Amino acid sequence: MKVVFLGRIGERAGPPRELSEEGLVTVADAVERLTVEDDELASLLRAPSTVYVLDDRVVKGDAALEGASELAFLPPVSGG
Amino acid sequence: MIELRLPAAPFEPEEALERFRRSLQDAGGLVSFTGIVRGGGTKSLTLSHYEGYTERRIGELMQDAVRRFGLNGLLIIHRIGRMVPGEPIVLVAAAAPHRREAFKGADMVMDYLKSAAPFWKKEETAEGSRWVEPTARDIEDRERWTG
Repeated sequence: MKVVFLGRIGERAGPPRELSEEGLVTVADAVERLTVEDDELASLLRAPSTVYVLDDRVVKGDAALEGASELAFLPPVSGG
Repeated sequence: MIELRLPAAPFEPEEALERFRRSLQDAGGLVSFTGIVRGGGTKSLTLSHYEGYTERRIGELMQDAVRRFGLNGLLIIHRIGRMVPGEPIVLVAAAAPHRREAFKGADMVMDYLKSAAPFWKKEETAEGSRWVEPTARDIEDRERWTG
């Protein structure tokens, strides 16, 4: 699946990347995989203010990844 | 006409507004707002969005505003990318059969855009750069429209 990082999270994590879903069940599992050996990214992705969007829907960490094609991590919005 | 554009390059609000006005049918009032990047220490603003998601969320707001105020037309042009002071950042134009609804439509859309639209804004000043978050005032303004 494609993983997208926005705003200050994107600054840390870089451009969108592909993540193999093998062995991953939930969004929380994806967070775990993405943050191996990156404590700063881990704290950004796990911050209570970070919003998880799975295929255009806002979800919690326990949401199932099965069948989804895009996962995004959104820090608090700035507005326009 | 309901139209949303998120250009990454400078745009001309006056031209866009005129084109929008010419497209209208049965409107009795047209209210527009142009937001300009403020100077005062700001060297530049860089806005990013989440492609697709940002358009859909703003699109939902536009449908809501059109229904709520019976608008004949609604136009939003919002810049993304890097901007410098003096450049237009946003144009909102709302048309309605009567003026009150046009004013309210533009007002509500701007309050939402300023505080809740999925944009991420980085400000560069002489001291460095920082990520901007909505002010308490921005959030208060948006809350006028709930309930």
